[in-house]
Amino acid sequence: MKTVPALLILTVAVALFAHSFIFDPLLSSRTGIDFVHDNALSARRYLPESMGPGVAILDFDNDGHMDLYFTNSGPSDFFKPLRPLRNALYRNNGNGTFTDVTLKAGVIGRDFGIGVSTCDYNRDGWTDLFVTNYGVNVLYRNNRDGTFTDVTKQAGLDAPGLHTVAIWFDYDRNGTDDVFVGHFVKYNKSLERGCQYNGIPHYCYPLSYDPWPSRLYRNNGDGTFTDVSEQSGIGRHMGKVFGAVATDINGDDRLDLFVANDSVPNFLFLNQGRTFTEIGFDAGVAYSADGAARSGMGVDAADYDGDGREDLFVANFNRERFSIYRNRGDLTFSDEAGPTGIGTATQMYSGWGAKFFDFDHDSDLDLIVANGHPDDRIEEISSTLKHREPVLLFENTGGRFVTREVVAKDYPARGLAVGDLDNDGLPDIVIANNGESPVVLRNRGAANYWMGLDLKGPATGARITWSARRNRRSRLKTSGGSYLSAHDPRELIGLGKASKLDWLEVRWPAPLSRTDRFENVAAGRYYSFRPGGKLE
Amino acid sequence: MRLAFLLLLATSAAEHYRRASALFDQQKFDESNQALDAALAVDPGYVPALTLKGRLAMAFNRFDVARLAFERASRLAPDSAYAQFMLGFFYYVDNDFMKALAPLDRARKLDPPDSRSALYLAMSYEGLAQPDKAIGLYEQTIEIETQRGKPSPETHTAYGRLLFTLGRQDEAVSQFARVVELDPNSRDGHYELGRIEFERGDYAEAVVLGAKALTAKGLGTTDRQIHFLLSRAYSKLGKKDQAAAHLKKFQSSPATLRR
Repeated sequence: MKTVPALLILTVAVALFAHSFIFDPLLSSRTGIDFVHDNALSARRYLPESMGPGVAILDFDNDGHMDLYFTNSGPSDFFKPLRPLRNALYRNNGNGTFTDVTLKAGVIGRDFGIGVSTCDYNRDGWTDLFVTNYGVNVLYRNNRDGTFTDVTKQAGLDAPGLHTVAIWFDYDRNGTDDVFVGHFVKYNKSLERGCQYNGIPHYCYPLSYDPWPSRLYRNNGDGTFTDVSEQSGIGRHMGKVFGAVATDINGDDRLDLFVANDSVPNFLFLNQGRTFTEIGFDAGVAYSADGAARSGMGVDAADYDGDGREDLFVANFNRERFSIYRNRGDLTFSDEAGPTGIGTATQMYSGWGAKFFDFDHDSDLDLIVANGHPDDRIEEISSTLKHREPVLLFENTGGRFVTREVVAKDYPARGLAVGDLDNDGLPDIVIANNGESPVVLRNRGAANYWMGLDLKGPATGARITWSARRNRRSRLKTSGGSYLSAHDPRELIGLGKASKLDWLEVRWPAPLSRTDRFENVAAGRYYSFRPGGKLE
Repeated sequence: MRLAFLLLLATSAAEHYRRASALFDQQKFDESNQALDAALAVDPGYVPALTLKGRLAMAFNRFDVARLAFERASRLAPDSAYAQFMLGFFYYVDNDFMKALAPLDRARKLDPPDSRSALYLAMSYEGLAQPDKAIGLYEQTIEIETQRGKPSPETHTAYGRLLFTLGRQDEAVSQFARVVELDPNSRDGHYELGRIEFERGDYAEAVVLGAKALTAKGLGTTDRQIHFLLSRAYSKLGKKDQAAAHLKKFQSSPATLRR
């Protein structure tokens, strides 16, 4: 009799243990990442409280280990912090722990922090930081000694607003990265709508606010930027920008810009050289199939079906289903949310940070999305919706995406960045949560070969092509994507069962426009190289 | 005042309710509401008055009042299929699909021949991203309606839309074709068939079906949706003027709530 319960317990224990998640959440006590986002939560529920934070994975000190940067709220016209708040930069110690070096580095931020992007705007080989704010953004120039200098004003990037994303890409192909600065709605404290349900304040749906144009700044190559919003055409479109990604939708080697708007149509800016034409309506990515503007938030671009064309992804609001737009090759897209299974799987969620990546190195691109309902009081008015939502991982199974369990907990997620924090060749995840600590998810492993590539130089827009076991594949180095966040700049390439690449080619973007080719490249390590250089 | 109160009590709750119901049918909503209040003053637990009170409150977007009325009616009459259905229907309209499941399921079991409970249960499961359960219930709804000789275009439309969102175009076409068979002047049917033809690349047929939808009557599909379809279809056909005309109408129409 005694053995029966024991067996039962054993069986249950084995079943529980066998339920394995793909990622392990790392505790802050283990990593040393003690940052907690303060969302400035007020009784009134001011809109910017629900927007942040973002996270960047970057190597600011060029030591080969990926560091982390988080944005935090700060003083604004609706929020006076009772204690000083600051953004946070964590240096990766290379042993699984991180050290907060924010003060020493001089990157505490200013105003109400929202998002972060990384760049090398002065092409000195050191990663600079750009923080988007409700207020004035901040461009931090890397001093190459572990510190940064705020050069926003002298750079000419000090226009105020309610900013979200910043996308660094060389739109005019002159060799320097320009920047698109996404703007959300027209906003200040007096424009807050003060929405209520049964007399209780809730965050307003963005439809309640007026749209506002975003800006494009051309890099002058001397540390300054020129606002080219009007002449480029970008500034003529009123939007409510949450996410954006620079990619090449028509294979003309010019980087186009896909912009997700909330409650107004998405934009697809086709790069014509020095100007952009907005083709979202004709391309079929502006509205739902019924002609409704959805709540576009997180985005990404990649060739998920391996046909050589860049496809698009948009994370929307609950009930809207997320969009996965397959590029038809004629400047139009079809939303494949239904056939791929993405639509049904995302119907209950509000998606933010997102990224196509190959989590298991089986050589096709999977998709991860961080979710969270923006209304922290949603459960008071709905038993169907939750404030905290699961992280969704969609495994690409060739035509359909199958949902895989990432981690046991749900989060009020916003920013998401993908990167290899321990240089083991496996992509890890960092999720920045609204009003809470971030979560670092360590990839538990994959039984496939991989290769990492760190392109030194003007990499955005580079086309990486390789062959493994005679299977030819290709990837475009895009810029931006996700939500308020920046990924590890290195490219991880899954090789499946191939232990080496037959060959590897990198076609650098204009004005270089050169191709470097390497034969018989061994798997299982990172390589870096410059245009015309050797694999190192 | 005292006399009025005594007169009110002298009339039964049922009589007040009958009067309220008649006024409701005549769209005299204020008077209907007053009669309902009178009925409930006489008998606060009079279930027909509570359900009608809920319906009236929903019509006036007072979901807080409606919720209280329906929840009370449901508690007082757990064996009333109608009270259970109305509570489930209310939760469905309020987008609280999880809560809608139990009362709709109860209503379905209490009155199996009533297809409405199965239909709203299907739509609630659809709202909860459980398409397999929804499909089974749509099929049940259609079976009930067929057995009763009352096939409903609305049911086939809803089912077809689910199949379309799942990428099951051929099955969706069957449903929409049935819609048009049942109601040759169905705006929803023609529009949905037009959408599918657009996705399949037959833009000329999409234009034909869109034009039919535009002239047909119906509350489900808006002019804006049809102009959106027609603008894109004409654009694909290279007919820029027609495309621009429909684009203009699309942009000037009130935004659709359907996503």
